[in-house]
Amino acid sequence: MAVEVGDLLSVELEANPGGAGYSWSLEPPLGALLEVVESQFVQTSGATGSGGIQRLTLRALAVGGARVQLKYWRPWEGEKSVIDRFEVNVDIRSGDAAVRDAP
Amino acid sequence: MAKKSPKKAKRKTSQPAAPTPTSGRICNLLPSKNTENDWLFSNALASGALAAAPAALPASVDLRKPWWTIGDQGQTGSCVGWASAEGVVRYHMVMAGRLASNLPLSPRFVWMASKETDVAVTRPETFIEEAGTYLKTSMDICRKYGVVTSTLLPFAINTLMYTGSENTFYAAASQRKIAAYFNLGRNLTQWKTWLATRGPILVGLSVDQTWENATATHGNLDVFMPNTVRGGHAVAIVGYHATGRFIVRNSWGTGWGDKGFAYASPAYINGAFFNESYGVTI
Repeated sequence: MAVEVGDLLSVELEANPGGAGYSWSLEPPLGALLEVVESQFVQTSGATGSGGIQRLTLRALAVGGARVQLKYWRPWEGEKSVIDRFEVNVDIRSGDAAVRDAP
Repeated sequence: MAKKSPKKAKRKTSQPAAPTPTSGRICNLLPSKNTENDWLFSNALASGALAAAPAALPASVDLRKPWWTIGDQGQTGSCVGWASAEGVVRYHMVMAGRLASNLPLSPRFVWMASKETDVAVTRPETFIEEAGTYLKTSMDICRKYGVVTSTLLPFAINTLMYTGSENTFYAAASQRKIAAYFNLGRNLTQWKTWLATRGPILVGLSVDQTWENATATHGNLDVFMPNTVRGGHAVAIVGYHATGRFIVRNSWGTGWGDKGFAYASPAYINGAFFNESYGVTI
């Protein structure tokens, strides 16, 4: 997807960190073109043990191509616990040249 | 380009106008509904379900047993089933001689039956592995129907769940009914009395970063961090130390905390745990 320098990019993934202990983590390195603004979790059900949406908000810092890679795991169990991965390529352009994807 | 994986269908990337402040996190964690008529600790004492509280409680209580092994719910939302069936009922049944100590009870049965009958009726989700349920509903299942063993209904299902007679299934469950459950709230004195005289307690809590870091802290849970809450979870309390910490029995495998257990300070419990907990009699 394409964004402009200064834009915020939000990645939303289903997760169950509270009920099952699994959450999404960034796989380093993120690089110098993006920075993490916030990571938050939104519960989508009141039932105990249910999951929700994990939202990672990034800001584009400079022109270039960046790759965001995440893994779904139990952090304390290490790499053997990874059960899913997600990645997205981000084309960061200057304000004049950017062509945005529809959200 | 986004790389899609079939395991997680709902994914979205977008460009928000502005980030949500950290303090604005939405959790929506709800204790059970319709608990206002629950039988309480005082009712347990008055009815004789709980023998008169001892003049002095033991300095410590540890109900853990070698046969009472820690389970792992994997990525499912089945914690209520694990905490009630394995964390509470199994202990009572084994100690009463009504269940062989090497025979686990079925978290899947209590979890799925609870989802089928709980108050979250906006859409059917019995078969949704990620969906959770409510503590009180699981207690009602254990009281009305009992609990089958994992031999009859295993947690890990490859193809079919149970292929025998429906009557046989519920007849088997009925052999392991609880007689009653009592809501002990978040009263730590009542918790100690129940642990010292009756057995383990079903509890719910809001999972935070401290909980997630329990392996690094060797199981010690001291400071609740409300801004890092990431969902609700059910576990069992299986004892307390002379230091005042309560022994927590989780269902996230033996790699979490101290071989699957944690030690929660009263301050952590008062911040993180629901004002709802259940002790049972059989």
